[in-house]
This record gives sequence, C-alpha cells and structure tokens, in this order.
Amino acid sequence: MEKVVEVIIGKCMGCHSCELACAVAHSKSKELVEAFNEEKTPYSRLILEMDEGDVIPFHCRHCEDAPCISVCPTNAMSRTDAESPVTLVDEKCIGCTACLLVCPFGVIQKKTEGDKLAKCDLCIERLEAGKEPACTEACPTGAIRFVSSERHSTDKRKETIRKYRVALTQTQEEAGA
Amino acid sequence: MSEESETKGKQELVKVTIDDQTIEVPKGTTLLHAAMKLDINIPTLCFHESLPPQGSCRVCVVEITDKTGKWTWIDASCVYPVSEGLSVQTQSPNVIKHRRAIIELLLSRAPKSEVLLLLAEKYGANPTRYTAIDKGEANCILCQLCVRTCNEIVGAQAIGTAERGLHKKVISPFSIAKENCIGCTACIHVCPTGAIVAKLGKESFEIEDWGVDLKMATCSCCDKPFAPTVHLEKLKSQVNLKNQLWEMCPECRRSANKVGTPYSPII
Repeated sequence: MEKVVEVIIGKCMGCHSCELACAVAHSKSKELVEAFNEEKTPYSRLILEMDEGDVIPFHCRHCEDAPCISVCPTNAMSRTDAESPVTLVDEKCIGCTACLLVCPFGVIQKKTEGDKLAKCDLCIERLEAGKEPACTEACPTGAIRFVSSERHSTDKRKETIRKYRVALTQTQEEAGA
Repeated sequence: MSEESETKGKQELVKVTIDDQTIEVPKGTTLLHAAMKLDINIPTLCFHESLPPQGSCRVCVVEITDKTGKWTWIDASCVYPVSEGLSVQTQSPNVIKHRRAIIELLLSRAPKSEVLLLLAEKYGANPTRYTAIDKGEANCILCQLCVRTCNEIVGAQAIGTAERGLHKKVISPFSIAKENCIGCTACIHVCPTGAIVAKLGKESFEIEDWGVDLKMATCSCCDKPFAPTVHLEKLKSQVNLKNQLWEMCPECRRSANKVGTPYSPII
C-alpha cells in the first residue's frame, strides 16, 4: 500500500473524535446530525481501547496475507487487489465470526447494533474520492496520521537517531562528571 | 479476467421498468436485484446476498405486467428473473393488499416477531387476524435461511426441518447436535425474526431447542469464555496463527500489542 495509517500512541488523548468521524463516514448521509436520526444507527469501525489512563486507537492492519479473507466462507471479506484495503460487505456476511476469531490483532468486532461485524475499511469510499480516512482527518492531535510508508519509515529512523543522541549525550555527561 | 469480461460483453441486456424508472440489467438478474440498483426498497425476510434466493417468505411480492400490457400478476421479486419489457409496481394498492395478507399469515406463526410487527404497522396489517399457531415465544417463520446457511455455507449440516404442516419446525436431528454444530452463530445472525436464542453460560454455549451444548474456550489472559472450542479447532485447520493467539480473546489480542503488557508485541 502506498499510504498507511500511523498511530503515535503518546499523542492520543482519548477524545473519541476518530470514532465519531468513523461512524459518520460510514453512515448513509455522511452528516453528523443526520447520521444520528438514521434508521440504521451508524457505528465506529475503529476501536479506542482505554486501560488505566492509557489509550490507543486500533485499526485494521490490512495484512498482506490476511487470515480473515482466507477463512470467510462467503467472500464477504475481500480485497480487489493485493494493494487495496481489506473490506467487509455487510450484505454478504453471515456472522459466523470466523474472521473475528482468526484476526491476530483482534480488530474485528461484533457490534450489538443490528448484530453486525465491524471492521475498518480504510475509508475506501473516501480514498476513491481523493480524501484521506475520516479518523486521520478528525484527529486533533495528529496521533493518527495517514502517511506514505516511506515517510513512516523515515520518521522511525529519525526517532531512533534522536533516542541514540540523547543516550550518547547522557553517557558523555556522566563520563565528564 | 479477460474471459470474464468477454462473457460480460456477450451478456444480453434487458430493459425493465420498476415504479416508472427504467433500467437495463443483464438477463437472468432477479427483479429484486434490479430494484436494488434503482434504490427502490422492497421488504425481504428470507433473502440473503450470499445464498441463492428461495422465495419462501413471499414478503417481497410485486405486481408484474408483461410487455404487451395485457397480463398482470403478483409474484415474489427475489426469484423472478427479468425479461424484456416487464413493467413492475412495488407499492401499488394491489401489492400492498397481498403483502398485508402475507404478513398477517406469517404473524400467525410468529406473533411475537418484532420485524413482522413493524412490517404489519407499515402496511396496515392486523396482527391478530388469524389465530396464532403457537402462543408461546416462537418466532420462527420457517423461511429456512438458517438451515441453508448451515448446510450450504458453513457446511456443518447441524439443522434441518422436521415434521409436516402445522408441526413443521427447524431442529437438529433428534434434537441432538453435539457432533455437527460448531457454534459459529451464523444461524442466529441470519435469522430475520430473531427466533434462535443462544444461551452463553460461563463455560458453555447452548441452544436449548436443538440440544446444542458446546464447551467454550476461555481466554488465557482474562479468563473470559470467548468461542466454542470446536469452532476454534475448525479454524485452526484453516489458518496458521501463533499458538499463543488461539488461546486469547480478541480483546486481549489487542492489548497484547500494547506496550508494557506481559506479552511481547505479536506481529
């Protein structure tokens, strides 16, 4: 995939903006106020997990060799080509929960609303329209970013350099003192 | 891929008019699918996208007029293949009349079904016109969607229908399903009327009417039961995952990827 969703855990403050934007982006009207009054209550595909003050948003990793696709008996879970996101077609889903049980990251949920399975589709409709996923656009702190995989690895390398520099200065100071 | 597009090119297109909107669809498409393409809502109960249509609930009836305009009849749209020049009404008074009668008949079998009661309200049907067959909590309309899902998609073949007429019911063979049912809950998911009720106990997954009583696997992290062991065994033969993951519930799999938990990140 050209671009990936990157989560910087330290920047997340748990405001749930991503979940709200996700639900609205997957509603029929795509408008916040109207979405609330829809016949089928919209629900969020991403999961904001909270634990003792720490909070992390969890997205589907869109695995290259996705186990959820290989176990789906109806092809409801599928992708158009190797580079595209893994998507779930609600109408085809029979709710056998096989995908939920084989997901190594546990990011597929069974929703109580309408007894549906929920899974991030990387906002495929928005991507096709040239927009970025709803959660990355809505995140006020930049904890969820939609970046190219090159940029992602460059940033990681820079982070490593920074950590190394800090460690180096500390050892030098200790040696000087 | 090229073969597919060639056959698509050869496919004959037919014109059909639904509620005064005309659409061209490939021959063999059902009226229900043609209406879906036009965003026309036809109520359905026994229809599922992953299964061939069966036409057992008849709620999707529409009024069809042939191309000469001389003949008009009522038929279930989910099983009716389109042909050239058909004209279809989905909301005409005649359709509503028939649909109302069908809903009333279905309600006599499943008097407590919320979906049916909502449909009855929408189409002005009288829920108590016919005496209910079963005055209990029975909600089954015998559409057999669960049976077909279990047999054709899941492949477990755990349920079927037994007896005839008024006494017909969906059931596991002799009410014993210990060997076949894998507890995947697909039947519960597809049931349009919510007739199948599973009991999730501390260590067991039960469907009382069918004699299903499966052992649940408990999560090694949080000790919560999360899936029937037979279902996990079946999936284990299909995909390769780390052993550690099979013992964990989805919630704990998420936290296993969190920093600072006893489990190292599994990627």
